[in-house]
Amino acid sequence: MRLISTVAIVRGRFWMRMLLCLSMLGSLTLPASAKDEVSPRSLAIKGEVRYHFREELEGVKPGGKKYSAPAYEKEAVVNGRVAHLPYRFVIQVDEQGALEVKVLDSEGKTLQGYPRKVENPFAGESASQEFEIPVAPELAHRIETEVLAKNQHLTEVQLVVKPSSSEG
Amino acid sequence: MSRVIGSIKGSNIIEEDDESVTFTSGATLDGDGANGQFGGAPCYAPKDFGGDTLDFIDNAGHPGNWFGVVTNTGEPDGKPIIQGPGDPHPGAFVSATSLELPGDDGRPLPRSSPFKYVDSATVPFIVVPPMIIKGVAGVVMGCRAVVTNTRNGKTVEAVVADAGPSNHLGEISVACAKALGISTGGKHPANGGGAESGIKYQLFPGIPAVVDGVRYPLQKH
Repeated sequence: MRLISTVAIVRGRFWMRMLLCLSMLGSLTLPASAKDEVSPRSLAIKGEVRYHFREELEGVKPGGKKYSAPAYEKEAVVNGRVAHLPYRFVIQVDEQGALEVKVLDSEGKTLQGYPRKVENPFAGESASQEFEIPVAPELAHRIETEVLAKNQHLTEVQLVVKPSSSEG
Repeated sequence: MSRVIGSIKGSNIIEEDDESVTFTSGATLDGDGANGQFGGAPCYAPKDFGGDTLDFIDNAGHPGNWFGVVTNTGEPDGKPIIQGPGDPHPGAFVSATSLELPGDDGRPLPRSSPFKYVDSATVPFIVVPPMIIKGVAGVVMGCRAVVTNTRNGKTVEAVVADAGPSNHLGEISVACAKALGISTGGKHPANGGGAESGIKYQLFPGIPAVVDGVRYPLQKH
């Protein structure tokens, strides 16, 4: 019994440390809770960056819609980073289950508009949380060249955070 | 005998013996065409617009490059049309689909009319790439489609109403996603959610769609 309690306390301290200083490392997993833990539920989340674009359509009749419906290419966030952005993503879940997102540039400075915090991030119909990522024109051009196909124009870069078990 | 029209990111697009077209992929969401025609939210609006919108405004473009809304010149560098007092959502932009609808008298509506386009918020529709539009004999835009979520067995009758990029397969309206039990985005329903896989699409080129009692026109692209 004492052994079990000790393990629970050790796990509990680890859990507390996780909650206080977890940064997003591709996939964030919070372990199942013990009796004395702060949060009664487990939470596993993942992040991806979506490069939204529209494509200029060929052969459209005069007056018709010239650009395609929006679509996106995506990259999974691994160790807080993706291949085509010079940013680091730090994602924390606090003791109350609120989601906090920071985006740091290559010099470690927080991007304008961040950090952001979302209470009850996956309540109701929300299966994900989306955050706009600002990109300068030069970076946007590089993404169009390296990530997108011919005639495709970048419209938005977005960080999406969702439960690991979710679709989409 | 069935034939493979092509393949996009590992999903084969097949023309069946009965000339229907099938493919299975995921589903992303398209809010285009939503202008509040039937009481739903518009797709896009200026940043100072008070109400909800289906999509994040940046996906419509920006001054000088309006890719996703109707402009006064019909070109991306024109000024976006803003809905007026007599329109469904005064203050919102007008968002277009490739499929254009006629007026009640059967005549073409002006490009600036919110009713010229298919409402993503309330009409189940799908988006297809040019490979399908150009790859079959029958007219695709406006044709009947049946979409099935194989994860839960839900099926919906839909219309092909928009053209997608050449390298993307599996895109549906917000109304279609809701009918199939597919999640939508949080703040902006068309800007998130979707399904990674398990969505089956069947199109019937040349056969006009009838959805919720509305017959849609077939339109050569």
